[in-house]
Amino acid sequence: MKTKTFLAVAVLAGAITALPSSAQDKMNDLEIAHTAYTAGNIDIRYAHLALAISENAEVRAFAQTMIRDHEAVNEQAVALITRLKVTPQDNGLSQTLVEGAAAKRAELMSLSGKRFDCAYATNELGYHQVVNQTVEKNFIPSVTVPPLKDLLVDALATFKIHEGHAESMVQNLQCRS
Amino acid sequence: MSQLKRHFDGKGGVPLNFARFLTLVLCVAAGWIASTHVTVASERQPVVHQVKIEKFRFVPADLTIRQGDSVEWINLDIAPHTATEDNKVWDTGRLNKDQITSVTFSTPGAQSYFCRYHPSMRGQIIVQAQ
Repeated sequence: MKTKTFLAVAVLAGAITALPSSAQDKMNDLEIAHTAYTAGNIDIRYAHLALAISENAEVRAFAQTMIRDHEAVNEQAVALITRLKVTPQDNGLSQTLVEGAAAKRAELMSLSGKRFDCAYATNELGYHQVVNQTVEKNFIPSVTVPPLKDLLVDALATFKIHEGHAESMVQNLQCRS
Repeated sequence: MSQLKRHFDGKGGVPLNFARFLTLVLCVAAGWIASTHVTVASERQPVVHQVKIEKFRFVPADLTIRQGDSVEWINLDIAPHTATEDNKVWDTGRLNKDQITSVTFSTPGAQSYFCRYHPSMRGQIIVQAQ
């Protein structure tokens, strides 16, 4: 299962680093806002899938937390872009994330029981690890508008808690044994 | 007539002895009022304490209050939180960013609580008897 976790992280990392580094370097505030919002929506969709398939109480509670927290972050993002009167810009990284998530959802939908629970939990851990790293190392240093930077910093604090929570879930499900 | 005048203030007003008596009465009355106010002030009024919810922590995590006091929780995080007693005796309900809810504690004792959404977040209220 360690290999699976590594692969999940590698696939997600691949999605994020698939673009030429110059393209990532040139992401502007509106593109970063779009990608951050998209990443949140993707996790909300994974969570809805988990609530539809899983019967495990811990997995379901985690999924509900993902929906609640990511919706709250995205509501703040919408409030901010409304206040700033700007429109986030779709971009290659957002599109790559969406495509990767569609493939992952198709894979998850073919599973059930503990296999689904472990696949979902492992994907959540890998997804949060990569997204958190990207937000911390790329997005936050690049953003120029202070309110957006503040929002990303606050959101990162939330996502890091999710990462720790996902790690516990993977351990409790004994997915690695 | 001059004899009679010694009993007055010299301006044809209040007799001096009566003025001293009046002053004494006023001083006693003032003392009584002051002592009454001191008594009222010594009766402790309930206090409202505040716990911030910040970066997925209750700050302060441990809080000692007196019976009859209230605690208000304010959520400074983007993520919603709750402050929920371990046995759900009391529960603030969902607190979105910047929302505040208070609970009044009338029973002495230690009460542990957590966030229903993020159970690793824990706190404790110690209620001392009046």
